[in-house]
Amino acid sequence: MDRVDVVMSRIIPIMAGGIPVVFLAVFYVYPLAGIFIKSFFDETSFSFLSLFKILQSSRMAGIIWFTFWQASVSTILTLIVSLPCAWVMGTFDFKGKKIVMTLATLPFVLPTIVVASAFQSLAYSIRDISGSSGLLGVTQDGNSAVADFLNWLSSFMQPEHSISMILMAHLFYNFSVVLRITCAFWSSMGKEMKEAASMLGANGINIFFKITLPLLKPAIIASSTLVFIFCFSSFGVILILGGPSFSTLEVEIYRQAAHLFNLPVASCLSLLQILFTFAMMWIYTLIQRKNSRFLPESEKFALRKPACLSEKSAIFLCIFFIIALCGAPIAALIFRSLYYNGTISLIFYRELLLNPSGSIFYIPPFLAISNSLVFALSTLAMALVVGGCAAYLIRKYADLEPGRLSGKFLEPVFMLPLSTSAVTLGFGMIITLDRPPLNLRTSVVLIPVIHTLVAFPFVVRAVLPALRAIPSSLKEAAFIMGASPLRVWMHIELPVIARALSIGAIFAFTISLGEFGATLFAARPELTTIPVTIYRFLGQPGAMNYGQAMAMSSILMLVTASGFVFIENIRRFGHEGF
Amino acid sequence: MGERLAMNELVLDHIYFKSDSESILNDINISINRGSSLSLLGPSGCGKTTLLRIIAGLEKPSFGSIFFRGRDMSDLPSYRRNFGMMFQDFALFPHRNVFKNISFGLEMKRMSKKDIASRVSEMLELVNLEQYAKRDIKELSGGERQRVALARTLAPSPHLIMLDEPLGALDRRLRERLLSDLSMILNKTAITTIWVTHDHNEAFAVSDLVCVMSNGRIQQIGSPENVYHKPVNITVADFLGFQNIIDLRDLPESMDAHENVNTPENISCGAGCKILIMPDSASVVSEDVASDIANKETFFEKSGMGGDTVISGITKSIFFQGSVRKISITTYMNTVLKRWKSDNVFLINQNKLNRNNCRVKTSGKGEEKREKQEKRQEEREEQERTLFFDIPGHAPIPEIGKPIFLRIDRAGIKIFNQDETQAW
Repeated sequence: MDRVDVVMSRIIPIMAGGIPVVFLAVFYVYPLAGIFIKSFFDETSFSFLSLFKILQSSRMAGIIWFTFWQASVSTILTLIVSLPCAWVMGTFDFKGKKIVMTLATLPFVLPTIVVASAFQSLAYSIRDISGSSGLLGVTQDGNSAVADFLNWLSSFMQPEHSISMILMAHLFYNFSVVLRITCAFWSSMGKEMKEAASMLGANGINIFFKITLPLLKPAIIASSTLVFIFCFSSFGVILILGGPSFSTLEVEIYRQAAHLFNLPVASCLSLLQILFTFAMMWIYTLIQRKNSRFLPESEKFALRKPACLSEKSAIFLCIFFIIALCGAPIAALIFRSLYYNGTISLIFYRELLLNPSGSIFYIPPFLAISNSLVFALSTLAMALVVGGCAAYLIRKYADLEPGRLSGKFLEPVFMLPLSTSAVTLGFGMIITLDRPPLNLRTSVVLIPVIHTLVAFPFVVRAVLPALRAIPSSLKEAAFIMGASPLRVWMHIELPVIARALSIGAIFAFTISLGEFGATLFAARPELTTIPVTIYRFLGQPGAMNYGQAMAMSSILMLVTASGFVFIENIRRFGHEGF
Repeated sequence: MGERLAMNELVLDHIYFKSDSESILNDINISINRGSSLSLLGPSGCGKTTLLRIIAGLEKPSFGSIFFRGRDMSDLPSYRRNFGMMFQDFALFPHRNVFKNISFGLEMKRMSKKDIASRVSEMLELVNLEQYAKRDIKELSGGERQRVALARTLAPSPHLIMLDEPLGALDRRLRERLLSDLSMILNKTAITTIWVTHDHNEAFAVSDLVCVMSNGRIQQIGSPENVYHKPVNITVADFLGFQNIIDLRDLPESMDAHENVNTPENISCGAGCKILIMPDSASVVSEDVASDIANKETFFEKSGMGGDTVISGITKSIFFQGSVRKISITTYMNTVLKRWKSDNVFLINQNKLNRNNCRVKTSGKGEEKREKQEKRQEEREEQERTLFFDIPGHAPIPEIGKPIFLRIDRAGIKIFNQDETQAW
């Protein structure tokens, strides 16, 4: 063997496989272990005492109860609203369907901070409109139905600290999760199964309850579990819309750690949060496995044109609802960012570029933007390296040698950061990586590292299917024709996975731009990012601060939305779902 | 009409179907007797599946009616017709096990649990799957799924069973085995059956009546034997896989086919005619016999068995297939048909019936002669044709590359007019 060949076939794979393993060990396992140790070791001795104390306190019990309660209610609400829409989208073919679907999915990819501020601005807008109905040309007594509705809406949507706002934001955020998963299932079911039932004497009602619903059940359960997990670990939305009166586990961890510096309590809560989310992720995986068993056999997509008036009006209602639910907050956000003193102006955007305040803690917004861009680009590079190598590692050990036990766990292990909430990740890092041997507390790399941890599983999920799709005969043919491993990689594999890599890159970039929970924990004042700056703006009084928060949110939304639209377009196979 | 309705189990009366102004079915008229089986045979896209779906009530015809046992079914929804249908990929319910799949139709009939259980086990016995009641659909092989689908279709005792390419999703070896199983089970039940298939062998094997469709129209309805031996037009012949179809338009000008080819009934059979030579109508004869036939001085002629044709050519390939050998020969158009004589003998030009036709002469003297030869050779290449025949396996084996002489039965040659109907 040539020396080059030895390097290519032996050393490079080991090095490449080592990168994601070491990364995961140092930046995921070690911080989580830190949380465990802090929860169980009171001073020096091992005890369950602090954990029990927390569970016994009525305030904590209330927080845990509220966390479960709001997650359950949000999930049920989302299900009720999105299932009829999934029926429309999964059954009919109509003009502009793709645009409606994109609009419906847009909220899911928006950063939480943007969602929160969008809902706040929507509530303010509704209050303004109902307060001055003359704006719409409606006199109070002339058209009382509209005025009543607006009054009701404004009392329902209190801009600050209201549970209805939290629930609506969660609905807005997770609507597309149920919609996309169920819709993909519904349309892949095809008409054959229903026709078979019809031939066996089943009428429409029987077909729905005996065939359609049982077939959809796994998709409904899987998507609602996912929504429940998202709502359970929701942070930004509750922090901003809930205020001090509503607190979930996630928010409480942040308050205990950042405001009260009560690290043991924060660790115990983090531990609880980790246990809860892991348990739910485990359930989700189980359901997923069952799902694949139950996938309908027919893969023909049998979408049809609406036949009668009632079907047409169902489609119209669905489109109208999606535009209202997903479009209104986004529109309100943009409107608020442009609305100043009764006129439309760009003053908030201009203001972002200036630094009027002399405060030393004040970070000019444009600096936050440039920080965010630098972090996002370094996250992109790191996530591609870590995620790409992880995908190769999984492909090599889990796929090609399926008998090995280590291979079986490889893929789930690399997906673990996905099921860990951002706040616990950030918290774990600041309590463990603040002293030798690894002190990153003041380092610039801490934030990109956190973002990479959140983002690289997405790269793995994008690249792995592409790698799996390369037939081994393709590579073997190239080898036989005399190509070296390097050349095979350059000329065969890289072009094939390039599309997947670019999808992963955009994911990493937008995730880094929008990441809020962990960044809020770890960001040093001078290294703040866009979401953190928006949060600080929202926390300060005055129309100017609020307007700038809206302007920054609009910019952030624009960047993530265009990234998402780009991904949707380069994804060659219309694989819906998440 | 009334009589026709009363006598027949299923009557399709002037069925038309249009989709997006595209005509899918055109004037379909079929009657089937009770207990018989019909195959809808045709290439994909000919409308056979649409017709099946119309009978099932899954599609509404644009025009025309369906009568079942004298009753107009047009306004009856599919779930009230009590017809059974076996789908191409079976459409088994993945969330129900084998038992629950078969019991679905019985549940819809609101049968008691006890009756359902006994009927399902009866069905499982019929399809030889007694041990499979509790199995998941995903655990079944293709053949087992097919049998579950059949049992599910039969369980509610439908008046009529439709099978849409029931073997299409399976591999070839399995198809052959399951085909006989399937038709045996269906024969046992004696239910009127309609098959949809694109495989003529399948259609011939399982049905009493074959209906060949193409472009949304019925081309021919008849017994399998009838359709096979007497295809009514070139479309049917082509679809049945007959390869020896000669278009007289292909013949070179010098042949002057128009003038020379006359049918016995003096039907004008000009350049638009097509000739079909059945592959199983040939037998190998010696050169002497061949020229005897050609010279009309033959035993056959004298004994009144005249009407045979001789084709000469060079053996190109031989495939042994057990009872028959499939051979292909290269021949020249002008040796296949030169003249259609008034005495019904399909004759070859005597002058051409010699080895010269089979082999190109290379020796020649003088410039002029060679030129002539070259010209002739060019002409020959133009007229070169490959024909395919099945000859009995026990007959002497022809040699590849050697001349061969075949006698063709009179019934083995069919002539189709320009409008593609059979002239003779």
